[in-house]
This record gives sequence, C-alpha cells and structure tokens, in this order.
Amino acid sequence: MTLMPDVKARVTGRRTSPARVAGYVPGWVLPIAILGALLVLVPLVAMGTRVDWANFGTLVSSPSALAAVGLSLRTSLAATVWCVLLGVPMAIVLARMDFPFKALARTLVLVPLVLPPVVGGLALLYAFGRRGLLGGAFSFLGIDIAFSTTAVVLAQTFVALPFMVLTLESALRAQGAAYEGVAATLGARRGYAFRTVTLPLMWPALVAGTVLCFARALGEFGATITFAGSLEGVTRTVPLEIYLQREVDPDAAVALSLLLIIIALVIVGFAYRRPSGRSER
Amino acid sequence: MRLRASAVVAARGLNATLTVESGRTLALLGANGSGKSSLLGVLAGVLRPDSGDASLGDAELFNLSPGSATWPRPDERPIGLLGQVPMLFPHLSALDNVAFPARARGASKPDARRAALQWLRAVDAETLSASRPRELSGGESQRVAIARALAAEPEILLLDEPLAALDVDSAQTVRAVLASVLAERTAIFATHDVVDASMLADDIAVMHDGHIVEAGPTRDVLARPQHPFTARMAGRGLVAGVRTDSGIRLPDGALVACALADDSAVGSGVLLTVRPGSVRVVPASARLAKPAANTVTAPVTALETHAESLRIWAGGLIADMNLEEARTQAPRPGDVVTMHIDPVGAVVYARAVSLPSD
Repeated sequence: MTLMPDVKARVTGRRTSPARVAGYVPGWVLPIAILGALLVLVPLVAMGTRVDWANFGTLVSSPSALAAVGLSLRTSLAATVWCVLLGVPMAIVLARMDFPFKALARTLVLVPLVLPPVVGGLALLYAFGRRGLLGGAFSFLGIDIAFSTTAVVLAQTFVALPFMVLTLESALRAQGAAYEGVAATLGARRGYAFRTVTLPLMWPALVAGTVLCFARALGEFGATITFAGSLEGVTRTVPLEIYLQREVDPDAAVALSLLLIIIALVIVGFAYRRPSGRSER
Repeated sequence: MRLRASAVVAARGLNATLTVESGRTLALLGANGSGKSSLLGVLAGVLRPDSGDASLGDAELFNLSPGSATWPRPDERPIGLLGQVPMLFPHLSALDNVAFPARARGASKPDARRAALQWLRAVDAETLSASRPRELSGGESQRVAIARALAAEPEILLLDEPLAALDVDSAQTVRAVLASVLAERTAIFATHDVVDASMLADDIAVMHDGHIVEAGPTRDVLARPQHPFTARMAGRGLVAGVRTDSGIRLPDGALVACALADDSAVGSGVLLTVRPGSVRVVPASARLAKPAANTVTAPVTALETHAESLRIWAGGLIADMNLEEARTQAPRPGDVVTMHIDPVGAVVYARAVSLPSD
C-alpha cells in the first residue's frame, strides 16, 4: 500500500512528494497536529456561539461598521502594496548581496515581529509625529502624518513588512542564484534575468508573503491606535472599531469580529488556491 | 575563434594557461578537484580570478593584469557554459528554455521559438519541445540544455563534465549528440574520462593540481604522455630513461630495445610508454639477480582487483596478472616485483625539457 505511489511515480516518470505517502510520516505527528488545529479552531467556534445571528446583517452594516470595514480594506491593501514594493528589494539584498553587518541588518528588519505593536506605534510617533525626528520636516511641507489615514498605512506596513522579507528571503536562499547564473551565461542581462527567471521562481513565495502581509495589516491594532488614533472614517479600522464596540455593544463587536475573520479567510483562501497560476504562462 | 587564456585563483590553487585553436574542441582532462571547473568559471565570467587575462581572436575577453581591470559580466561574453547538471528553467517548457537566449537578446517570441525548434532538432529532441523540465529524464534534459547553450550562439562553448551525471545509456546518446554538435566548433570540454576526451576532442590539455601539465593533439598526448598523471589517466605505463643507440637505458641500468618514435639524440632524456598488455610480472622463481634487459624492478605502488585479473602498478608500469597467478604470487603494496616489458609494444620518444616535475 505504501509502496504504490512510489512505484506509480517511477512508472509515469512524475515525482510524487514524499509527504503524500502516509507511510513516511511518524505516527505522533497527526495527533499533535490535530491538537494544534483545535487550539486555533475552538476559540473561533466559541465566538461563533456568541454571534447574534438574527441581527448579524444590521450589526455589520451600521454606518460606523461600514466605515471601519471600508477603511480597513483600503489601508490594508495600500500597506500590502508597500510591503511588496519595499520587501522584494530588501529580501533580494539580504539573500543575494554581501555587505558588512549583514547579520545585524537582518535582525533589525525582523524587530517589528518581536516588538509589541504599541511600542512600534510609539516609535513611529517619535519618528513621524508632529514633534518627532522627521515630523518637523513633514509639517514644514504641510504634511501631518500622525493621526491620519497615512499613519494607519504606515503602522500596518511597519508591522507587516517583516513577513514579506522573511518569506521571500528564505525562498530566495533556498532557490540559490544558480539559475540566474545560467541565465547570465545565456546572455541575459540582470534585469531580464530578474523578470524572466528570478521573479517566476519566487512567485509562490511572493504570493505567500503578500497574503501574510495583508492578513497582518488587516488585524493590526496596537501600532495603529498609538500612532494613528481612533477617528471614525479616518483611522478607526475594524480592529479598533471592535475594541470600542466591545464596551458599548458587545453583539456588534462579535459580529464585526466574525466579519473580519470571513474577510481574512476569503482572501487567504483565494490566494492559496492558485499558487502556481502564473508560472503556467 | 582562437582562445588564449591564463588565470590564477589562489584560493583554489589554480594557475593555468591554455590555448584553444579556432574550430577545435579541447578536452580539459583532469581528476575531480583539479581546477577544471574553476578555469571554465573564469572564462565564463562567473568566477573572478586573482589575476589573469584572456583573448578571443584579436579581442580582449578579460584582463586582470596589474594596472588593468577589464572584467565583463557573463552576459557580456560570447561564451556559453554547459554544466554537469542541465539546470533547465523549471517554469519554462523545453522549447521556451531553448528560446530563452534569443528572447534575452530581444527576439520576438515566435522568432525565438522557431529558432529554438531548429536547435532542438539539432540535438534530436524536437519531440520534447512541449515538455516541462520535471517530465524529462537526465539524458533528455541534458540534450535540451545543449540546444539551449547552442541557441545563445556562443563563439566558444564550455562544457563542464556534461556526461558525468548520466547513466551509461543516456551518456552514450548525449555523447553522440555532442560529437555532431562539437564538430567545427570551438569548445572546451572538461572531463575526467579519457574515453570521452578521446572520442570528442581534437586536442587535450591535461590538468593536474590546478596546472596544465601537458597539451597537444589528443592522439599524441594519450599515445605518448609526458606526465605520469597523463599516463595514469590514459592507462599506460611510463618510465623515464636515457636514449641509447637502439632504445632506452632505464635508471637501474636495464636496457630496452624498442621502437624509437623520433630522432632524439643518443644520451638525451627520453620516455618509454607501454600498454598493460605488453607488460607482465616475472614470477619470483624466475627472477635474475642483475637488472636484465627489458625489465623494471620496483615496489608495488597500487593494486586493483578486476573481474578477471589483478592490475598492478609498480615503477611507473602497469601489468595485469591473471587471477591464478595472483593467488600463487599474492603481491601486496610495497613488495618488490620485476616487470618484463615486451619491446614490441613499447615506444620511446623525447622527453619535453620544460616539464614541471611530478
């Protein structure tokens, strides 16, 4: 039974991933995996039991809720775009170039992962706030970043960026630079090799990183409330709205939480269903 | 186009100079780790040497001599590199892999694909054009990789052990493809296999410990090796001595009267080479006290048990003993044996003077 897929793979000349063959997985893996899944699922189910299903529609379509959802989607999308634009070059530099203090640079890039988001928000405030390091320069130009929608995007980008860098860098390192070397000996200039070889090969990792960034941006709370405040329609994203409603109207908070989960699931599911769609071109 | 190159890579012990004549294939023959790949890497531009320079025809390929630093990127060099592993782009079909070089130079997709199909045809792989690399066998992949390297239309093609990772049957197919592809083409073919070298190359440069120890037309180098390493690769015995009227006097005084391949002066340094088939081990009982004609007495340096014989290395000669003899005599490394050379199978020729010592 366990031999079958392997034999079949040899006959058809196709590779079957070893993980598909149940015989290769130690017996203790599955029970522990189920335990882990329960840790994630049980709280979600518990929340589902508290949802006021009868009024779900009205609860999530109140003006403040709609404003929060719209703002969350817009800012998370913008933050994700920034993560792609900034994270791809950062990952390439870390994976492919040698420079002094590279280990330190890599550690610093990952700092937002371990930093409590509130501290991240404070740091952003000290950098871009009106009295911050760069805030003076910005307000001289008539731009006030703190407590604006821009601040929300900035906070989300700050906390989400490490996910992109981490995902892409490990993929680029695993992939190695050998294919780019081959492309070069075939006469491809660096830009062409990047577009036609590096990018398609790292595409699955880029999709994964993008999804992670979007998910992290969508759930961002601490840095946002510290750096951007909670102004309806301007900086009050869904997590902030949930936090506020929790005091006033717990039913609305639960309904919004569920909505947030659904949005996240739809986007993550959509992105993962077609991981290699691009490479079939 | 004639290629002349020299390069030093201290970290890898490489210090080599070579020349490839236009339209000829040079086999770079050497053991693993002898520096073949490093030298090819320098030529292709993927390994920057500490110093060196190279020219292709009248044009400078790179120049890292003191006071000069011309080091073009790989994509700026008219040089193709085919590795041991095909390294086909996994996200492209075989056809688009072969179309890649033309696309990189700006050709339109239909034009590039049309040309790619011709190159696939040249390596007898047009039926594979729609396949993905993961669907191809090792031999098929390597043929597609050859087509892709040719499609870049390099002035010089470098091949780094392209047959080493293949099984016997695929290697044979790919060797036949290479034989047709390399005809009239300027190429360097790195290999550790003397059979590949003799079948595919017009000339041979023997590489040993980062140096080219001898070079010349394939048949000459393999039939009359100058360096003990070359003789070992070619599977030939090689001993040095002094030219006499009728042959060679070996260091222990023994004379071998045999064919003289050239008019080297009497008293000059010469070499004798002989195939294992013309050497036999004299049984201990029949051994003479004094150095006899046509014999070499030396300790055994290595032994190798083959299916039907025992191969013995001693005093620079190689002899095969049948298994029955091997059982009765049971030679071990270090034992002194006397080897008898059949003069009919031996040839004596001049020793190149400027040779680095072994």
